[in-house]
Amino acid sequence: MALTYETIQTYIATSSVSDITFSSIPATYTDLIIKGSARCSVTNSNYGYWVLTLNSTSADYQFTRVIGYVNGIDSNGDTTNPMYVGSNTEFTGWTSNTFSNVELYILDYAGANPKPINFDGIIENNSQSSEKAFQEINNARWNNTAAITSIKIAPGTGSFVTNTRITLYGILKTP
Amino acid sequence: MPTKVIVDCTTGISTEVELTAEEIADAEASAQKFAALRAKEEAEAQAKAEAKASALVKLQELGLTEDEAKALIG
Repeated sequence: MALTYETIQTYIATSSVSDITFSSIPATYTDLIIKGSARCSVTNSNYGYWVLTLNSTSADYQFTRVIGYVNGIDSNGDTTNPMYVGSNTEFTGWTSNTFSNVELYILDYAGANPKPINFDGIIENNSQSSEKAFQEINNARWNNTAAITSIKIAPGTGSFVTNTRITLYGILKTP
Repeated sequence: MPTKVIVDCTTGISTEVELTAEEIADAEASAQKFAALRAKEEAEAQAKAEAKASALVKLQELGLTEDEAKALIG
């Protein structure tokens, strides 16, 4: 149980932006949580990933994921650099004014061990005809021992649209 | 010109910066890579679904009920 759950920073897009980077992250917490409400400017859901880049490093990522579609489920795993952590950004052409709901939990981000990352996200698209991902759970790892001081989040392509909101929280588990 | 945002967690200051030509090229390369990955995933999922449907038919031809066949292949 977290003793503290503090907002470090929130960014709300007032215009479209290609990516959002939280820099100079203090090492004073135990874990980090990122919560996002996002929509991107592209029409093709093949591009709707959240691409995560830690410390500007494009290496050492791996993941396993479970995806729920309209008509079934699927699972897979891979190593990609940088890492994509879920096709959970709303797209142009999907239900108007809907935003995905995403949470990333990064354990022991300031420690000297590889960093486990939990991801879950849901897309709202009010249609039964789409085969695209609606929800996803992703267990990932950044196999790097450096303390995380910056986190860059981007859609696979295009931009996050106005009113996309991303908040970085610090979790402190010990007094 | 596309812009990126850098949120400094120490100062709380958010700065919008125009992407360089190199960053735009990187983003385009990344997009192509992820589109290819996604297409591969969808193709694999489709192949899996088709194999499952085929197995279901063949099991029923062997005399199993649909429920029995589904219980076998999950």
